[in-house]
Amino acid sequence: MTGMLHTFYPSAIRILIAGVLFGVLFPVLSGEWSDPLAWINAITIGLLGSLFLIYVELIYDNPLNRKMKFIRRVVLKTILYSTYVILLIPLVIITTRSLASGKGFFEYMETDFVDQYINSGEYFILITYTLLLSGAIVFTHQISMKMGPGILWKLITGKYHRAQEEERILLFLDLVDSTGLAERLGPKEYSRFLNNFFYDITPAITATGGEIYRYIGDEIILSWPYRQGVKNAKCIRTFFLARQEIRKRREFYLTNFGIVPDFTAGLHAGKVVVGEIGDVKSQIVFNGRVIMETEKIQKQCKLSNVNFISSAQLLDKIKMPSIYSLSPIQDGQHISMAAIKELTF
Amino acid sequence: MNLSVGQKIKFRVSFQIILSGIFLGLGYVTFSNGFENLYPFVNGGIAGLILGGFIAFLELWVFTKGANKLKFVQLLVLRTLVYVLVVSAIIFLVVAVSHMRRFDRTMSEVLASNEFMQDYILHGNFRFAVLFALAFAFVINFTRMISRKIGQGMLLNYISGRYFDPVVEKRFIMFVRMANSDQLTDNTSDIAYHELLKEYYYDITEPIITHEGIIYEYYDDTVVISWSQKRGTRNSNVIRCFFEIREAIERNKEKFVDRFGIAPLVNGALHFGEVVRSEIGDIKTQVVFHGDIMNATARLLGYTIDNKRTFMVSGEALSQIELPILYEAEEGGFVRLRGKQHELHASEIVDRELMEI
Repeated sequence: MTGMLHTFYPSAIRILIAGVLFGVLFPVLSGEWSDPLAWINAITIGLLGSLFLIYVELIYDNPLNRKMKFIRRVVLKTILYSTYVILLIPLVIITTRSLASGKGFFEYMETDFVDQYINSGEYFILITYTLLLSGAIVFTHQISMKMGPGILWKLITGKYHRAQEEERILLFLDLVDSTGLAERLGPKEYSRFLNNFFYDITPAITATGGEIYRYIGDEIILSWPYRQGVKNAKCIRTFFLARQEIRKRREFYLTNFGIVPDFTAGLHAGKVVVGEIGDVKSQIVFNGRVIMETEKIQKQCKLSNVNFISSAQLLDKIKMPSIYSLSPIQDGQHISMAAIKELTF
Repeated sequence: MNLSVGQKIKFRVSFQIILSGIFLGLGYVTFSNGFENLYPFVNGGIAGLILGGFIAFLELWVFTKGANKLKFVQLLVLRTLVYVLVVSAIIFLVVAVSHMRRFDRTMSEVLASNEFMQDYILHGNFRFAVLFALAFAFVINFTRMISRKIGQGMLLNYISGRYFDPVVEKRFIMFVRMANSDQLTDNTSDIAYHELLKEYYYDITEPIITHEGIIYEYYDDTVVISWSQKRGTRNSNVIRCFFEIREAIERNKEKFVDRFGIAPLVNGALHFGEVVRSEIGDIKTQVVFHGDIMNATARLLGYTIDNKRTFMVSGEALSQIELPILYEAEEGGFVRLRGKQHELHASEIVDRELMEI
C-alpha cells in the first residue's frame, strides 16, 4: 500500500488544483467579477468535479480502465464525464441560490429561474462546450496513456530534446523459455499470452512507481529515478509484487495457455544518457554502459538458476526489507551481484 | 522530364494536395453560395489551387529536416503562424481581386477604398476568417505533429482498434544498422554517442518516408522499417529505400566526420513473410510485430555484417519485386544463420556503379 500512496497523492493534488482553476475560469471569462455567488459556484463545481475524477480514475477500480478498445473507451469516458458535469452545474447553482435566497432546495426548484435556466441558450452552449472539451481531454489523455505516462508531455515540452545524464535504476524482466512458448502456441496465441502477461504485471509496476521504458519481444524494461527506486526498496518489491499478480491469475493461464508465465529479472543502476531520438516515431531512449550491464545481470539468472539478481553496488544503497534474503553470485565476472529471494516460513 | 523516383513521388504528393485544395475550395462555395452564380466557383477553385500549392510547397520543401529539429512547441508555433499568414494573405488577395472586378477598380483603388479596408479588413469578416484560420491551423498542426511523434499511421491504428486483437499480415521487414557505431562508443562520451544516433536518424527519415516505409522501432543503432506488400513492391520501394538511405548519409559525410570523427556505415537486411501484429501493454501500449521473420531478418543482418556484405535480401523478398536497373543481385545461395537450424535463401544487392569502382 505504501507504493500506492506514492503515486496517489501527487496525482490527486494535481487533479484538485486543475479542477479548481478550471472552475474559476468561468467567472473570470464571463466577467461576473463582482458576484460572490459566481465565485462560490465556480469553486464548488471545480472541487466536486475533481473529487469525482479522483474517485473514478484513482480510487474506484474503473472498468473503463481495463482492456478496452481505444474508441469505445474515449466515447464512454466522454459521456460519463460530460453527464456528470452537465448535471452538476445546475445542481450547484440551484443549491447556492436557494441558500442565498432563503428558500428550500425543492421550493426553489419550482421557481421560474430553473425553468428559464434549463431552457436558456446558455445551458445548451454549456452542454456542447462540455462535450467537446471533455472529448478533447479524454482523447489526448488516452493517446498519452498509449505512449506511457508522462512521455507525451516530455515530448511536447522538449525536456529531453537535448540529451542529459541521469542516475537511473533499471530492471530487465524477461519471460522464461519464450522461444519454446512461441513455437508451441503459434505467433497469434503467443502474442495474446504476452499481452495478458504485460497487463497482469502492470499494477505491480504502477504501485511501485516504475516507468515502463519499452517492450522488446518478451522483455519489459522498467526504470526509476535513482532516489525514488531506492526508497522503501521499491525496485525490489516490484518483482515480487509482479509474481503475486501472476500467482493470482494462475488458473486463467492454465486454462487458456496450459502454462503459467515464469520470469527472471536483472536489477542495476547507474548513469544513463536520456534523450529524444527519431523525427518520426520519436522515442525517449536510454544510452550507456549500464544498459548492457543490466542485460548481463539478467542473463546471469539462467546461468545461476535463480529468478532475480541485482548488482551489489545498488543493493548497498537499499535498506533490504526483512522478508527478502540475499545470496552472492559467485560466477559473475566483472560485476559483483547477488540473488534476491523471498523468505518462506 | 528526367526526375528521380524520389522527386516523382514528391510531385505526386504535391499534386494530390493541390487537387484536394481545389476540391475543398469548390466544396466550400457549394455549401455557402449554391449553384446560382459561376463567379464564386471560379474564386473558390482559384483560392483552393493557390492554397493547395502553398501547403504542398511548405510541407515538402520548407518544413523538412531542418525545421523538424526544432523543439515541439517552437515548431508548433512556427507552423501555426506561417499557415495563418499564408491563409490570411490568400483571403486578402482573393477578396481584393474580386472587389476589383465587382467595382471595376484598379488594385490600388481597392486598397484605398472604404468598402475593402474599413468594412471588410478592419471591421468586417476578415478578422473572423483570421481567427478561424488560427484555431484551425493550431488544431491541425498539433494533431499532425503528435501523429508524427507516435509514428506513421499509429493514431489511426489506435483509433480504429485494428490491431486490438492479433492480425496476421504479409509484410516486408527491413533492419538497417549503423555497423560502425561501436567505434565511437569506445572513446567518447555517451552523450556524443546519443547525438550521433540522433543526427543519423534525422538524416535517414526522409528517404524512408519518401519510399513509403513505416518506421517500426529504433533499437540502439538499428532501425526496423516495414512495408505492406503493395507499398513495398510499388516502385521497388524496399530496394530504393535502402540505397537512398546510403546516399543521404553519403551526402552528409562531412558533417559526421567533423562532428563525430566517423561517417556511419550502413548495412541492411530485407525479408518478406507473415508477421503477427498486435497492440500490447496496458499503461504503455505498443503495436508490435511477432513472428519468425522478425528473428530471421535480425539474423540475416547479423550474417550481412559478419561477412562484410552491405545489403542482403531474402529470396522471398526478392521474388516480390522487380529490381531497378541500377542494381544487381549477386546470388548468395543458402546462407546459414546464427542460432537457427534451417537456412535462408538470400542474395546480396549491389549498386552497379559502385561495383565498377
